[in-house]
Amino acid sequence: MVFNTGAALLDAIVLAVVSKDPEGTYGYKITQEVRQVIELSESTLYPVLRRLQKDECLEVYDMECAGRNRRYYKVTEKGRVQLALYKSEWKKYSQKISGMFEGGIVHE
Amino acid sequence: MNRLEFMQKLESLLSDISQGEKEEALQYYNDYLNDAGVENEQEVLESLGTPERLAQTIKEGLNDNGNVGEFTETGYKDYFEQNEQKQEVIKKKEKKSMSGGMIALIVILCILASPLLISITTGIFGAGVGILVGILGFFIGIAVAGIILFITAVVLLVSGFGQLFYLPLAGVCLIGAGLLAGGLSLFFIWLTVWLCATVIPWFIRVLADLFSKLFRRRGGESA
Repeated sequence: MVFNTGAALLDAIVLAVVSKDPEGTYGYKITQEVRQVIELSESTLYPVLRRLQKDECLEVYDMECAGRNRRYYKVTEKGRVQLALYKSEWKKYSQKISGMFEGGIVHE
Repeated sequence: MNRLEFMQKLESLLSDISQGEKEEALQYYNDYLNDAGVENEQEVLESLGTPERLAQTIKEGLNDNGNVGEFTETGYKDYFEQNEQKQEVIKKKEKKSMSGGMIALIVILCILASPLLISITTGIFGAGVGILVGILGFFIGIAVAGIILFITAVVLLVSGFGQLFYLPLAGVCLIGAGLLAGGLSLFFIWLTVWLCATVIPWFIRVLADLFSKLFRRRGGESA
């Protein structure tokens, strides 16, 4: 990873990962999936999840699993809107950069 | 450190945040370790870092606005780590700027300049003492002048009144001179009193201020 990635992109990646499971998913799984695309320490995700939860982009619920309660994260409606915004912004941004790299003309 | 010790330590480190936030964080990491599985437990604990560091990350996350950190070529970094690195760099720079050679050079310069420094210091000190003694002499002169003029005035007046009956002209002259001397003596005595009451305390205050400023600056630099 040569490029610096801001907090917004991390939010976007987390929202994208969580939204893949309509029933919601849990911390460990989210971390492992995020780590497939970016380098991430195990302690990084908790504050991000907590913030997204406070911003009402994620909601949590507990579900019993193998005799214990596990906390699940699920994308809210607001989270979905936010993710759509991130996706469209990312598309514009990455297309411009790719266009620039490949020497093409970038149209606004 | 095993899982139980780690979680207990983390719990005690999080005792200064709200109960809700603490339980939230503890549940998350409990879940995390459960989901990682017993076989990966030690590995995950190691990658979580120390409980102190983890507690710090959790607490910083509580008042962040989405700007805790960013990704760099070495992976995700929060600003805590970046600041630590910056501080290390600064420390290294400071160390570099005061290398052994530099210190030796300063010492040699001080030694070479010491005759000059000593003479300058002595000169300034001497001038200060001279000015102080001069001012003191001036004050004493004024006071002595006042006293002598007063005595002279008394003598002149007494002898003037004495002469008035034998040589009226000389008597009047003596009385006139006595009154003049008396007036001057009163002026000098008033000047002395004013100097003692107003100017000297003011001067001492100014000196005291000057010294305290000098010392305070010294203190600030050493701290």
